[in-house]
Amino acid sequence: MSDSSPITPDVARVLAEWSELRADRTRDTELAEVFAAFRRRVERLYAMDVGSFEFDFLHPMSHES
Amino acid sequence: MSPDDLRSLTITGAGRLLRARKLSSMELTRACLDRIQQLDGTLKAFITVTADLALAQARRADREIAKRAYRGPLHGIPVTLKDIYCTRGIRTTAGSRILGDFVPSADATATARLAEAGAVLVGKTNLHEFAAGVTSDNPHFGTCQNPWKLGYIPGGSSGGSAAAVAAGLGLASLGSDTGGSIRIPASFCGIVGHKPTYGLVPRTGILPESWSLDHGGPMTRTVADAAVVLQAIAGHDARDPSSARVRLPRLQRALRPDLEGVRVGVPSHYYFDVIDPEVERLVRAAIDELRKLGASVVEVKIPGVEAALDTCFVVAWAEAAHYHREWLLTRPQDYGADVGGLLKGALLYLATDYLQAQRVRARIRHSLSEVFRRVDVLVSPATPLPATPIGRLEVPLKSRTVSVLDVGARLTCVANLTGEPACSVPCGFTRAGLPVGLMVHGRAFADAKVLRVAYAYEQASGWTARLPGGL
Repeated sequence: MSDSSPITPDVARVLAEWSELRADRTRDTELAEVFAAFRRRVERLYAMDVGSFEFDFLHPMSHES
Repeated sequence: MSPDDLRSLTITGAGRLLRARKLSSMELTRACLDRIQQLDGTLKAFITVTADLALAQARRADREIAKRAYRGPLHGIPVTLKDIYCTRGIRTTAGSRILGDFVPSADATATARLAEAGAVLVGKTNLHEFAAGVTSDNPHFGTCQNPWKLGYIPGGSSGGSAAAVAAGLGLASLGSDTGGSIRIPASFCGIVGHKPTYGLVPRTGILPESWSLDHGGPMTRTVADAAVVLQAIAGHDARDPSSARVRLPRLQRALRPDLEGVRVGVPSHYYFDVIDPEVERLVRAAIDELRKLGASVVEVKIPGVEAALDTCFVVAWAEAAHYHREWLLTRPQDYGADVGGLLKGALLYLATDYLQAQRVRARIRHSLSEVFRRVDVLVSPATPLPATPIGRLEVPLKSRTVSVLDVGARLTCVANLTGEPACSVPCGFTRAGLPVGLMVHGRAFADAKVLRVAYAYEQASGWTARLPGGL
């Protein structure tokens, strides 16, 4: 989802229900803003080049130094 | 001892008096409890004051010291715990309504180690709800205040711990740090806060926010005191899967007043890009001081570090949303507005989002490990801004508006992603009288080197001697 398809309160409601959150119209408006901000953050991360950096899932905090 | 005498007392200073029996733990503890009673109505640094327990522990400490059964530098010293450390038989709320009545059946490992060292617990401190924010403006237990300037935040999430240490309501506290929650309030309240290497201090019994980013550590008036507390709580714990099997050197022996032979790196980008001019001036002056102490100072580049805040944010909130999921679905009304809203938002992260964040994290860790081949420590501001007014989620900075949460954690979060040790030590005050912290960040398990640099600077600068006025 990009900035060109904004998250409206109706979209937020669908997303919230998909997450099994209780329905609440006031919440939908607030969540729409939160969801949009979260997507922008994630989009910035996807723009990072991580091709040669593998996360060590079995030893997540082993130290190279 | 009068409650006012507590203001300038350190663990090392009080320890000498206690051991020589020139001061009793009962006197010290009573003075501390009196000061809490006098000030905490204003500061809101505590959620629970454990006066009866403290007096019983102090009595016992005095008996033992009289029999020459001295346990060490924490024996008889009044301390506090962020209310996220489990305490057997004493409620542990995490600053939340959800856990408002939670009474653990066992102590956290760090709690037990402090008790074993003879420390006296005077209370459990206020925090940002569930340790998930930087203001410590807690909707359930009150708005914690900055002792240097009422009406300003103490930082967070360990805001009550920092306010308590700064105001002399306990000689040390244990905080927790997921994106900066020890160092941000230490910086804002003019005290020392050390986030140890990941795995050095067991997390057993510290209520989690984010498993791969959470660290427990000391908050104290001085670097030497931080070394004393860290020495007491560090060490392997088989019940914590992330606990490291590493032997910590004698930290106090590592503290020297000079920096001969120490290579200091100053980041050439990101760390000084979004910053209050007064903070930059004080930090640059501190770096000059390190040079005078014998350190060699070089500029370093850290490729990818500009993604640190986004990476930390996604990892931390995704892990937190997993921990909170059941409560979010069944008790959403019991969360404060900011934490509840962000946790609900984090339920929407995809597994692929989390994995991308972890790969960016791997890139940042790689960059830092390369930097630490060239230098021993990195130094920077702990926070780009001093404490901000209570109730403000955004503040002006130069010609833009910045989020207090984002800018507060912008620099500290790097060491959470890498698991490396980082310490905030006071490096001066703004014209408005607000403290500023210098961050010293080192390679994994080089906590002694980080504390050495912080100590040498602290001794040369003397900022620790300054105390909040009017309290």
